Amino acid sequence: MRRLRGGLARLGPPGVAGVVMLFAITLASLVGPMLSPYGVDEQDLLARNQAPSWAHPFGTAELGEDVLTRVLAAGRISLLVGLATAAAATVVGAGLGLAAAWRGGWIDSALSRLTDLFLIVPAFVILIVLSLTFERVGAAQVIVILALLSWQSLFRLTRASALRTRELPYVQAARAAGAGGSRIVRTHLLAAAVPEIAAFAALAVGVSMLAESALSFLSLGIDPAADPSWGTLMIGAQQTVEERPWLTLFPGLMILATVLAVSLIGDGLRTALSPDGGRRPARRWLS
Amino acid sequence: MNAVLTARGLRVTGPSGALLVDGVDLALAPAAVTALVGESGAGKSLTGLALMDLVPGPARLCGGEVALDGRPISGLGPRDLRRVRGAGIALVPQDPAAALDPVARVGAQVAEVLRVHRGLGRAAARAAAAEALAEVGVTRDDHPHRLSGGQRQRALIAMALAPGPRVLIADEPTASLDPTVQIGVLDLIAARRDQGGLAVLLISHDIGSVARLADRVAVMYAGRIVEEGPVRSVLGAPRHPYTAGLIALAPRMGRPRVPRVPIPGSPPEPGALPPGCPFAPRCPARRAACEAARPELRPAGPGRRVACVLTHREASALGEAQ
Amino acid sequence: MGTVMAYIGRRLAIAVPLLWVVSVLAYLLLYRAADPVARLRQVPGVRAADIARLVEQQGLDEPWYVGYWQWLSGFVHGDWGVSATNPGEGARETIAQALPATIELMGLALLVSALLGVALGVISATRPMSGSDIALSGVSYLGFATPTFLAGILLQLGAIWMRDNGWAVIPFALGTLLLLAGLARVRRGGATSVAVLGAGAILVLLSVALWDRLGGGGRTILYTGQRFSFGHEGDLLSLNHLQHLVLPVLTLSLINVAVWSRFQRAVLIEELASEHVAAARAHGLSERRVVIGHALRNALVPIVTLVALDLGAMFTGAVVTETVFSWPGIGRLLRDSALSRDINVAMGIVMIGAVAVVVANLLADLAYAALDPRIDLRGGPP
Repeated sequence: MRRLRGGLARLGPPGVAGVVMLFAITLASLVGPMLSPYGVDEQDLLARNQAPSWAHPFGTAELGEDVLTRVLAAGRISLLVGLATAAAATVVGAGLGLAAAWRGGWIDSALSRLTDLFLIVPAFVILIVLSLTFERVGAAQVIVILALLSWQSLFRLTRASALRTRELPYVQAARAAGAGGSRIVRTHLLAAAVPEIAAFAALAVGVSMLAESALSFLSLGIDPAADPSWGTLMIGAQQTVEERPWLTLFPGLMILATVLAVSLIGDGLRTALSPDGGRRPARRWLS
Repeated sequence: MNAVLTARGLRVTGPSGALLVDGVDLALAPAAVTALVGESGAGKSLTGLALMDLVPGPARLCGGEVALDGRPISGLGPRDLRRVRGAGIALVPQDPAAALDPVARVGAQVAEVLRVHRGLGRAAARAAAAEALAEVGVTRDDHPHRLSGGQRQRALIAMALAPGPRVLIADEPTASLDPTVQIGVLDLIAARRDQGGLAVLLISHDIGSVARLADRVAVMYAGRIVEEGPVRSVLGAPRHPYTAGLIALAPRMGRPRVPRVPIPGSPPEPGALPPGCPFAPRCPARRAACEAARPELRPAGPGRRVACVLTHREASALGEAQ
Repeated sequence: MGTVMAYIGRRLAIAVPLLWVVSVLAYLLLYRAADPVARLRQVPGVRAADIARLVEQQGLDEPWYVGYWQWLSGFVHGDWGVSATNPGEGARETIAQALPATIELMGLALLVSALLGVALGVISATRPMSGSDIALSGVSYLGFATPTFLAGILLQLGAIWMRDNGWAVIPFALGTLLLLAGLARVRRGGATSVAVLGAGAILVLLSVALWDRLGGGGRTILYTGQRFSFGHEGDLLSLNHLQHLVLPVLTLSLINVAVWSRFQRAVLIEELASEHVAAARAHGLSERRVVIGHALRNALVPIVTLVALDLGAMFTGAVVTETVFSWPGIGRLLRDSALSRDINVAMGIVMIGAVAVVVANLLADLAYAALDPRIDLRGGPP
């Protein structure tokens, strides 16, 4: 517990604030709907389109559903997509990056060419095209296509870091001493890359959530009938915002708060783990 | 002697409060080169920067009075200070590759200095800049990365001399240059001293350059001056063991190749000076008195001062032994 | 000049095969995966005759390589197929009609973002860790975390509020900002601080005095339902048209400003700490000359690359912004064609996007080489 607190403190006040926010939002999303007196899709035709009140803190929707409950439940999907995408992209991207840096040769060239291919078309266009290829787009499909477009940055990051580490004297010494390839990769190359990977992965969560919500808002993402996410809750918001702003503002603010939280965490990780605090900008490939 | 630039009690502290320059006095005479020598980290560059109130970032100038031609410049406001910098005291910075703006041609950079200090118009400044560069031997107006190290150094000198300053501070002007090129740069500075009555402060760790160019020399150790005087007498008959050590280390033509023994140990950390003389731990002639109290600079011959307890005879004996 | 042309030639030579691969993959995904024809049948309003024409024209009942070849030969000759949802037009015409609106939107947003991003970055970098810097950093974080569509909708909300309550709030807010800025500088004295303070105070007082007289009463200001108001079609410089541009451009610029200002800040701080900037100060140059002429000049170079790389991400913003504001550009067209399975139109937009990215990257590298004399184009492409 003490190590956890010590570790948290190194993130700096903004980083800690981010952790607290994320924790609160996640907890609310997981537990909230279970504690709510309303069901997620429960309709109350007598209480349609009501502004926020004590009974319904976030107001009610078209058919009387409680917006607060729906927003919290949608959080589960949005958070899942964000976290799973970042995790998948990190594992794939970092793994391939290490392989490319260590093996070099045709593997490196092939993978680098592959990432170039993805860079040539605006990412969102690829997202849209990919989402069209599925019969039914649920959270899982969105995670796959978002991860497909997110691994490249982590690939480049890890590859660059591993290439640098590979040339360092202590790694050369380990090779000379006969240490096996996978061992070197794991203990040295990966360890050196972890700070950058961690910070970037945190940022990736935010970017993925923004991308998913944008796709879903355009009705090109998650099928709202299947899994509601914050993005799907905002479909058609530009029409309803005048009369019923609560339908738009609350899901929107949840997205904002969550992305803000992970950005703060990411920045905190960056300053905590690397000496120079890094100056690379958050590369937006999906937002 | 009417000194052009006088400094008394210069003090610079580091980020942790340690004294990096501890009460340095300097007097620069016109048409003369005064050298400031010592190992890296002795505080030489900081002293030079302190004279112009340009101590960088984490370090701070926290004491001392500097006067140019008798008029104090240590309390000046930013605007007046800007006028002194460049037109009164000019600096030739340490690393010519890094000190030049990479995106502009050297001619334009010299012209800019001329426009600011001499109020010249664009065309006039460009012409004057070309002339100034030609005078120092830079005939090609190009971007810094296309010039050789020697040409960059000369361009910097041209930039420093263009506004016609009274004082030139040259910070390690030959550090990054080949020996043949070094001589050319030193001769350039010498010529300016002779022609224009320039007062030069030459900051260097290279005794050879100092011997060639300087009229007076001041030796710095751990942020203080430990010996100073006319260059012939100081280098010929050093009174401080540190000076003797530095001289012995300097490569010299015509001397038999004796193995050079570096001064044992290393300079002290600024915040952790030993009690007494800061050189005592490394000094071959230390005695009890050295660790008791810090020696002050006291007269030691015509125009000479030294901060050491050794007598003249003891110092000579030491010099011969090395 | 010869080096530049050779460089461009090399880059294009590399790009063409990549573009070709992109076209093949896009074709497979759009025309062959997930049976687009079946989906098309489900879209209301699409006639069977049009579907049949599509199938025949794109060879959708043939093997994929035949179909691809048909698409490719049509594409390079300017025939991009029929638009299944606009039976009277070809896909190319539909796209061509929508293109100017997007170019206008993205171009202006690019300009606004670049100017604001650099300006805010300079302000932050020249007073690091000050109140303004921290405030701007906070705003940047918020800007980055705000989904573009949310920003657009919030701005619309603001416009609606102004429709009902007048737009005095704009000069009021501006005046307050100026007042605050003036107050922050008042300790330093000087003519500018007084001027800023004075301007701010005047704006605030005027807006409060005229509050009820400035707009309101149901007249829309800045609210966009379409690109032009009726009766002003094609009148690009009319106040009406420009007024409709404000909100979409601001929305699209938001995230750019957030990211670019932070980056500019970091780069400029590094530059301000560099040796040559210190040397410039030693030469007695004024702070303004040093910061703008030397530090900023060097700090602008990396921004150019960043702007080009972010162009693809900006397209995302364009799709969303155009949807929110009903802006008739290719972003909205892409979304509509995706929803209605108008594959020819979608394919055309994909190819346009790819070519645009290639061109943008090339321009960025050329600009980079122009700005930084150390870059030698004779070497291989970066």
